[in-house]
Amino acid sequence: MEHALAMTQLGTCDERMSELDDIDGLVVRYRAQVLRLMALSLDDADEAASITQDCFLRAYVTRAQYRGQCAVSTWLLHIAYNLMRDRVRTRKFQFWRRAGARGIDASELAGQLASGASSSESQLLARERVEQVWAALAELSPRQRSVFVLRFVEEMELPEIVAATGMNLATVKTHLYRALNEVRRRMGDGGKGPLA
Amino acid sequence: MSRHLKPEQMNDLLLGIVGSETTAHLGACPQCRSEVEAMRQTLGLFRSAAVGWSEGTVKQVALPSKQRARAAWVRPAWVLATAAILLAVIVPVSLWRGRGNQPSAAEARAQISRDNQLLADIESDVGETTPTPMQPLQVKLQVNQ
Repeated sequence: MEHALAMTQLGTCDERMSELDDIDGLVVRYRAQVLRLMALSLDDADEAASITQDCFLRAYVTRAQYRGQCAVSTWLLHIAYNLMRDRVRTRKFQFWRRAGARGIDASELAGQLASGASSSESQLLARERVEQVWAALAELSPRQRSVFVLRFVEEMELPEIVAATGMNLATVKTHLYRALNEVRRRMGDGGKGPLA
Repeated sequence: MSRHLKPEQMNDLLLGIVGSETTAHLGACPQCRSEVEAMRQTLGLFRSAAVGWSEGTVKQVALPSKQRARAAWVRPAWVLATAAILLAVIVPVSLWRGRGNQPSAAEARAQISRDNQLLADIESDVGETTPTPMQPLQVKLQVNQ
């Protein structure tokens, strides 16, 4: 139901198809989304930027193949996910990964939280929780991280994740359960209550 | 049903897969409710941090322009026209130069004639049964007989 609603809000099929003709607009609207999926999945900022650029290029070149069957963002994330999967398979990627890629620093990530009106202690705990989630994701494979990011960062419904990754529903759920168990384990007893 | 929700049931709740039994337990158990709420809050914090990081990163790096994106696969018409003109000039010139280095027909005929003469000399030398240095001895032998 929510998925259908989201599709309605995203406009008609023709509107979605014409959206792909405007590459500048496409990049402005979806670049951050594609970048964070890649960066969080690969833990490699440079590779993520490279795949993001390739993703928009491929989307523009192959835009005639898009039939409006899903949201434009889902289609873009599907392209990016496939590019990432291909890249991860290559020996060159494995070599540079071992050599030490420019990963995302946990404190840099946690530092993005808005300070708001909460106390400094709450802010510290909040940052700690973000770091725990990031540490939990480090235990997962890039594909498992992708599924986690699509669900809990992009807030996609399970059928949308199936469309974006090409995995079956059971595999998607298995990856999500594994990720959530890992997050829960990292949070430990200290994370059993909500923050003030 | 056990005293508290199992991790799988909590996972289902976080994924939006809600059973009536789980919902009923959650309403009655403050401890499980607190735990689920903590997980939701943590995931929300992570989401905020990830969105903030990506938007900050995108702002730092210049956007690829339409022209740059297109340049990788679509060549503008003037580039193609220039390439065609260069091709039209370079190919005939290189062909003409190549022709200039070739020998004339008369030279070629003379060369063929010289080659044929050389081959004929070799043929006659090889065809003789007595080597040239021994031919005087052969003449003497014939006279004595």
